[in-house]
Amino acid sequence: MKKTISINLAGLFFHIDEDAYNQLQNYLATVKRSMQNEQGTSEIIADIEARIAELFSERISSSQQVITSKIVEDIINIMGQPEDYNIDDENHNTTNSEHTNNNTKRLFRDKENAFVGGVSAGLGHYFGVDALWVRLIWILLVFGLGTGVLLYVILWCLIPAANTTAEKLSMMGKPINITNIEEQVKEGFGNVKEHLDKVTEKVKQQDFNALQNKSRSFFEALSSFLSILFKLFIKVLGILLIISGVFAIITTTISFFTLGIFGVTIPGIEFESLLNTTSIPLWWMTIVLLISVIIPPLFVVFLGLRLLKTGSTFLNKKARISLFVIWIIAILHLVVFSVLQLVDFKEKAYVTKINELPVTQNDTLFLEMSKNANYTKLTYRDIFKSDEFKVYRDDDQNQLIYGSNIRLIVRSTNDSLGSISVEKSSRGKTYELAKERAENVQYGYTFDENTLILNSYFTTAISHKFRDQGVEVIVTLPKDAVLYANKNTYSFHRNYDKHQDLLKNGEEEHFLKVKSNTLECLDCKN
Amino acid sequence: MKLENTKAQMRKGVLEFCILSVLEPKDAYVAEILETLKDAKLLVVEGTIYPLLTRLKNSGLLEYRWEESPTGPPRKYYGLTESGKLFLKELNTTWNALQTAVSVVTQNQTKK
Repeated sequence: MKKTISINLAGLFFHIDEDAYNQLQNYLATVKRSMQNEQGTSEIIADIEARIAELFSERISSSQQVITSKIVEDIINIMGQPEDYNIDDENHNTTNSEHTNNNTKRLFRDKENAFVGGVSAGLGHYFGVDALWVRLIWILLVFGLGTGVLLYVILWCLIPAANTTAEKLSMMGKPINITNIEEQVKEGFGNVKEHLDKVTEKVKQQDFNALQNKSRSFFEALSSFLSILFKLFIKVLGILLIISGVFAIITTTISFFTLGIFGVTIPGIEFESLLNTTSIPLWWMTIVLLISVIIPPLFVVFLGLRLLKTGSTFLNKKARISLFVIWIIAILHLVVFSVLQLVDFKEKAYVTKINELPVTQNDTLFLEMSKNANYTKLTYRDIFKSDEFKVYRDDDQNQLIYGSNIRLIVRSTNDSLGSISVEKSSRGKTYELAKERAENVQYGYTFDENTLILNSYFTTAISHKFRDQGVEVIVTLPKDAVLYANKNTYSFHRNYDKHQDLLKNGEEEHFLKVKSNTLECLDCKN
Repeated sequence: MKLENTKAQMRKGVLEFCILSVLEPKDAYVAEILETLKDAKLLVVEGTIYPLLTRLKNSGLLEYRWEESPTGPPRKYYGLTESGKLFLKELNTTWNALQTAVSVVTQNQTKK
């Protein structure tokens, strides 16, 4: 005697055995799943059901009124395995079954054979070894370094549990088809039977099983708590990542935009081309730089979205790979550029020229800086500002580099006559190139009626480019001469002790008598 | 490369063409189409045809109407649309060209 179920298939009424019903339902579900990528699945399923109904009605007679599992099997043979419905999946057809095994094997937690969370059993299935060995490794890790616990918890949260039959099959590495699902279900029943048969044996093992059950239920409770905590943490982390990534993208874009504008409006392009050694244009470098800083935050945003499991298609695999490749190229580009740039700054050369300064004992030297209205309004050296160098046009419309990197040093001598030393320096790829650049630094001063006027700037032709050019002026005065420094020299002799400058900041606009190691103020109040 | 897979792929390739050809002289319902294809040993299991029919219908090459059946559920009678007929014509030309090409190639091979 068997229980039957009445079903409605494509509008027709059938009596069907319970086991046959399960078989048929399973079959239709699997067929449906195998056509997930197809459009109009429900319509196809309706057609299939209609056809099955037709085949059923052909097989029903007055003597055979109920659909048995034999009939269902026949019909499945006619209709074909779920794989046969898949008309596009060429890989599926070309790969042999062994291959499919490897492809479909996925990592799941095996809760049925679990002691704690089923991680070990799952890993055992995945690597095809007995779970015992995996557990031994865990124990070693726990006692060895303690990292095992943390790693286990992470894996526990990350690896999904195998709940459905299909998941269990792919955990075992078996292809998902009717035969295997059936096998799995049968195995399940078989196991139950086996268990019943071996009740006596089980009694002996009761302690073991009780331990397993207890440990499982305790760890399951712990697991659900931890996984909620972990998921919350992941969500927060994801949101933080997205926010910081988006923020980084916006700020870098804005800063690059403004930089780009400055580069265009101010003679910065020219400035940039002076910096440049390799004839790479500014816009190109800007793009490379932008790419290299904007791609990492994109990935941060992507990671955040991943953690939130929004399922968004923000960056697909192809986009990620190509972005990564582009980023690597940009970085290499920057590295090459910096190396070339560094190479061009490798050697430093100095060119020194010393002239007599007709200042004797008891003479008074008035020292001031000149300014050139063509180039700048200020007579000032700002050592903290990077725009010491600018590009200007002289009266003949030739482009010149103008720099205010002038250092003024005052020293004393035992000689009866003073001197002025002008040391010009520059950098270059080779010493010869550096020296040539240093020689081409144009710097001048005038001396007239005990007044020394130093240029507050130097110039050089634009073809020499910016290569850290500078001028150091050392004014040496005989003892007992008097120095009166104009206030505008202030910023040019802001020196460290190592420069051995006798003129200290704040002593400008005073009459200072030169002593062997110091300057003596003649008109200071105290 | 398995022989069975290659065979199945070859069959699947011409299946759409054959379904359209079966429907050219007269409209038919699934069982009739299946019968013709099975007789020609083009089809081993029936399952493959359903997604194909739906796809052909969705791309406007086929249309169907419902007809009552004396024995089973109502039947879907499929027929070619105008564009289906044009499509079939194109496929016929291609098929003939392909056939000639294949026979030229295979005969050359056997001569060597």
